[in-house]
Amino acid sequence: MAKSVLDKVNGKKYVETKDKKISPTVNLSKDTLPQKSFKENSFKAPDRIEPKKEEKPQKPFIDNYDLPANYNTTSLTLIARDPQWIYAYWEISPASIEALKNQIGYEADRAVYALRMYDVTCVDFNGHNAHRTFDIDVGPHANTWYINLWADNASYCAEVGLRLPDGRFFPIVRSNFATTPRARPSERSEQIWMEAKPAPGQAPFVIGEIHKTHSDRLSAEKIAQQKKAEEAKHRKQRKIFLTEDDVRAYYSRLSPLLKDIIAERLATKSQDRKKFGIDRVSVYLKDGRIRLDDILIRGISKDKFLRRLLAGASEELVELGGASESISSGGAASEQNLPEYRRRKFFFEIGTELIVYGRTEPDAEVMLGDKKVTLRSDGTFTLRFALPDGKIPLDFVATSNDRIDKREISTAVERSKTKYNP
Amino acid sequence: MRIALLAWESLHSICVGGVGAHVTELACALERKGHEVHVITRMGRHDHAQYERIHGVHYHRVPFNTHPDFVEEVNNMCRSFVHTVFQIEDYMCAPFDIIHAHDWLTSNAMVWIKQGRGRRTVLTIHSTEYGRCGNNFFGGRSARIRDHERHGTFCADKVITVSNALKNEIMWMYNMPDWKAWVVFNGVNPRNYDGWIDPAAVRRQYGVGPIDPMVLFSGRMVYQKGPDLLVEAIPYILKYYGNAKFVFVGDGEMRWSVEDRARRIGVAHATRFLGYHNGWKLADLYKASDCICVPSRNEPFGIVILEAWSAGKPVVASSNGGPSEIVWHDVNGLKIYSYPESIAWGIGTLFADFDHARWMGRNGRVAVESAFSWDVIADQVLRVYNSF
Amino acid sequence: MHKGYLCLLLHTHLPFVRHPEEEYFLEENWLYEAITETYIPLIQVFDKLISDGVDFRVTMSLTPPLVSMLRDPLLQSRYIRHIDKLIELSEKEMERTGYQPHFHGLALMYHRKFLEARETFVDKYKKDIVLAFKKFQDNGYLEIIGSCATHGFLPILGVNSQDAKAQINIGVDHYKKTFGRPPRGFWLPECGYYPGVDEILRDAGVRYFFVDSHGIINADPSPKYSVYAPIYCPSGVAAFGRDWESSKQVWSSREGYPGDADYREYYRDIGHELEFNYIKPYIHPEGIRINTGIKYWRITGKTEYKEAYIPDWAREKAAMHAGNFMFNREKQIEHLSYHMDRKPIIISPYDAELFGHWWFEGPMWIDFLMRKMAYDQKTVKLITPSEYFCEYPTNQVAVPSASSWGWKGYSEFWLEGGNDWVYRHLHAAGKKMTELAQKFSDEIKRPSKNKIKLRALNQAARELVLAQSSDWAFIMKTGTMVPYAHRRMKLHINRFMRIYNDLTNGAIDNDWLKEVERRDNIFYNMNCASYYLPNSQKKPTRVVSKTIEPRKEPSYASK
Repeated sequence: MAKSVLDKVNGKKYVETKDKKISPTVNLSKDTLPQKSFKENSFKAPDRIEPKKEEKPQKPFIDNYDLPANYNTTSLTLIARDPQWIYAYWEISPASIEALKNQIGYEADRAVYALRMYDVTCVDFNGHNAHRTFDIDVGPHANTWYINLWADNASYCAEVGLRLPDGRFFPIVRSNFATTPRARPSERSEQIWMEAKPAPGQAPFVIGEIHKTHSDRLSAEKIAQQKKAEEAKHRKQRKIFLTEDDVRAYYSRLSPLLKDIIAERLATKSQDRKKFGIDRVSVYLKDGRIRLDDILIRGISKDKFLRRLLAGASEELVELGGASESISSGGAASEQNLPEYRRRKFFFEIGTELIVYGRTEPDAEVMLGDKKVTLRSDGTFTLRFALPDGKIPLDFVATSNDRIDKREISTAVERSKTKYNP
Repeated sequence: MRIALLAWESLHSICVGGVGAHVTELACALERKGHEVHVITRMGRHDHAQYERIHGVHYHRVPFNTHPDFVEEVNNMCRSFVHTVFQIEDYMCAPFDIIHAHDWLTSNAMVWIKQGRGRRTVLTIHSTEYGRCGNNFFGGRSARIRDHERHGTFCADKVITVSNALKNEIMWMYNMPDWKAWVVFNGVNPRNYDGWIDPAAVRRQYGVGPIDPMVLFSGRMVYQKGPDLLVEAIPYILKYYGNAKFVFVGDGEMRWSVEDRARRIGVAHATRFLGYHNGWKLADLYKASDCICVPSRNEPFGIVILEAWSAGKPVVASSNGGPSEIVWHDVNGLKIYSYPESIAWGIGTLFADFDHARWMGRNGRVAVESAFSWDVIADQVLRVYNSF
Repeated sequence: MHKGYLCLLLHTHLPFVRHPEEEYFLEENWLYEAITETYIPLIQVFDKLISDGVDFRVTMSLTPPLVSMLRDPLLQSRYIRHIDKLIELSEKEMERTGYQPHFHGLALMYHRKFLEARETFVDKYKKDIVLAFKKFQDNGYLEIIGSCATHGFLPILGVNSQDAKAQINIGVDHYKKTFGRPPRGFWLPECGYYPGVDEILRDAGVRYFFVDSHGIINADPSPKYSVYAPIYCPSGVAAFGRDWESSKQVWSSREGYPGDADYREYYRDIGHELEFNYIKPYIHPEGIRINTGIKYWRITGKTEYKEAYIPDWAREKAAMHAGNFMFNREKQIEHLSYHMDRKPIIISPYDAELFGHWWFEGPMWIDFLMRKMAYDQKTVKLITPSEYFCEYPTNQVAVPSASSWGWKGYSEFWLEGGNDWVYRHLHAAGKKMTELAQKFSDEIKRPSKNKIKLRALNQAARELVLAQSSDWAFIMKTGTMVPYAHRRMKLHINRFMRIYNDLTNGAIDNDWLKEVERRDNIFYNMNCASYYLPNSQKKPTRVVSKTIEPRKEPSYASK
């Protein structure tokens, strides 16, 4: 790539354009242009071998993938693989075999190829002073072997050779020393200490600019803290109470048609409900204010009804549109969507009230339960209660002014469960 | 119920503006509710079939003669539509229950069908000629189109408008009685804007940095949409947010003058004019921006607002017409007036608190899902049909 | 005040794969994938950390073959070709997934990633990302340690001590040429250590190296602080041991972080999944489907069914795991410092390829870890080993046991049925090279006018070190791309033998030699043959050390 591109850039093309430059005073001919230096100095980094792709080599470049079968040497190499395995490979040139066989003589045919292993841990091996040896019969054609050992952390040497049936061993070649690694922690635990200081001029050096130190980080922390406090203050000023449901509700009643559709949907659902005799939904749809005379209530006092409605109706309020505005919404709802509930002109209702009266000394104190009862100036009192279904306890305690006398009267009044039909 | 939708454009033939999407999606939504819907529209490419059933909706793509005069050509189209409708009624199925026409372009067809066979007709007005001309009463062709619109609103049994503002405009312009008009808002398909994207990856294609506050203006570059107002507002915002970027997507007659103006006042480095885009590229731009600005001088509805909410972004919209009805101020957008200082106020307030802006965007998405999705719109349209 | 140190070590290595003779070579993709997915994201992370003012320390080992490849102009231009193709593919993917919400965001993410990779490579570092690491080292955040010339496995090669010496010294000198200073630390390939290597390292001027945990634990005599403090070999070079606990948290395929359900799945690549005609220009020209790097699925669990990748979830998980790692190290350090009378150091070496290539969120994890370590705690401090010596120059002397961090802890991985046949050739070649160097030692020391003999000698040495790379044996054992490993091994031995024969016969083919030099141009500017001369090392800048009498406890006050 590079050479042909270079040719284009600073070779012919460039020179051509330079030639075309019209400058009468300066004689820009090919000879006077500083071509050579330009070509050589620019774009060529030193020490780079240009990959030449286009030029075909004279002879085709063939890659050979054959490995030599042997190297015509006689050698044996041991490699310690892990604590209990050693890998051995060897090569025996035919010449050495011949020489040895001649040396052995007539018994050579009965000789067996053997690999003899010497355990030479911590020993200066001279051929005879191994701790132990063992033989492996490898046969004439093998040239590698994996040897299994029983102990780790030992040094081994090996010889490959011929062994006669009577036990005499004629080594051909001796191997290097291989030490198997340790497989367990050492039993020695003495401690030797060394102090190593870098040679002068070798201290760690940093060329670029120094990074921020610990003290800088501290101030950065402070800055971060300040920023956090500021943000928290800013956020405290803004508290959002609007929820997703509120947004949903607002948009559901934005378009009047949509509002009607949803109202109708709710209404059809609520007709299944028999719990209350009224349709609360329609109450809100009418024009917002609750008109009690429209409602067929069975004996529930006005304030209790309101409270119940507010507490238990939240679901529908949200579905309809906006919790806070439901009671007083003045939307223009189309009349035709209200479900028809029958309003009869005939009605019959009863109510009960309870009157309790008593008298005592004018300056005494009378308590009903934990509430004080106000006495008239002559010491009498009258109390009127509403009497719903259920039991009302009446526990009176009268105490004299000087707190010496105390009288208690307790009774209870119960109204049994009223039955209606229908 | 058998419904015929007459439209000049649709997504499956030729689509030029929002009406195409409106018609196609409305047809599908109605079909989902179990009605038989026929859409009669122009022939698009020549390899489109004349009749095709797409997503259960019957599409009739009708050829017609061209004419040098545009209004006459539209009348030719209407005559073809009428012919097609009668043919469908006679040979394909029973008479239509509702004929629903969109905009003045098909209003004549609706009128002639009503005069011919007396069907129940509904006309949807998306925008008026007066509004399209920049709130001017021009003569010539414009006057003819206004006449078409007036006649259409007179003859139709029901008229659907896309916002209260538009309804009021039509009422005073064409003397349409109040009981005839129904307001059904436009809708959008929020699913098109689903999915997470890497905003920085989108922004870098347009030369916007990953954390630059970015404002998107999407729409035709014409006088009503007010891109020049946005450009005038840019210097105020750049003063406080020097790295803010303003991306303008759309094409139109004002584009070059707006670009030039941006260069003159020295804010061209913060603006990007991308031309016309649609499809997933536009959806990506919505998802990658921080807020969408709608500074229109006159806006019948503003579908851009719905698209912005579908992507979960807050909206800075002018309170002229449609947007003032649907945007809930400071809950899913900010309502501003269409002059530069107000626009700058709106955008600046938004940039001051990005958490609040994100909250507003989320609310916008909630709003779209609850009130502006096509099923909800179809419900309302059915309500109009059922009110006969 | 911090109670202990953590040393995060990223070991980066790739075998030298460079084939100028072919336009497109499949195995070169290893380099390009590593650059796009590991090196550039790491550089981006480090750059961002520096610009944010976060103090961090990481140790990295960049091996000479990798450095040569990263600085080679041909491979740089091929990388740009590769990344341009990837950018094109990601643009097509953006279009294709335009309406698929699950995948469009991911396509955009990859598009941006590739564009930024190209920008970092071409514009910021002018195609030479080794300079980025050099910049970090010069600014004090990174410590780069050297490694052997071609990542040769020393316990097996060390049968010929000249081979081990050449590997180490070539590596050290190459480091000096690249980074402008001598290496203080050394990464033994695969942590392969045998007693005796440390002397070669001492002669090369190296101060410390790394071994696997059992190398230290089984050291003789038994080290007092086990792997949590370095030990000095008798020659004075220090050995650091790997901490097994921290490695397991990241390496383990079952319990480690990378296997979490929210991370990106490596094995679902669009190169294998998409329709053939669409993906054809971006895979191998002959139609073999390869990994492109764009993947859309996450691990989801131990099932075949995978779900779409959600980057936010993965980022949260990475942050959580970084916090978890840091928390575990804190607890570990607290426990250790209670029992030790000096500050412990935890060494956590990892293959850098893990972060980014296999584990997509790896660089993000490192980013979070560095930031959390700097700001969220005060127990553990990040450190490089050289800085540890500044604080604790006195350490125990012991002989580490021969070991490696490979499977089963010793040399079995590189010496078993599939790859043991190579060593007879390697050792023979090593002996022959020594023989050549001695025979032509005059030529090496004082080259003649016609440099062809010197060139041939140097090229012979290069072929030899290329053949000695432990990657070929590794690949033969793991079973992926085995034919390629066979080819490379045989090729280099063959070229070496040819040069040997030519030199002994005296007839060297110049054209052939030039072509071989062009192709195997690792260490092109070094006289590799001179490393096979006996006594070839210069006088080492010695570490001054003195042995102290054995005592039970150090008598100075420890912090």
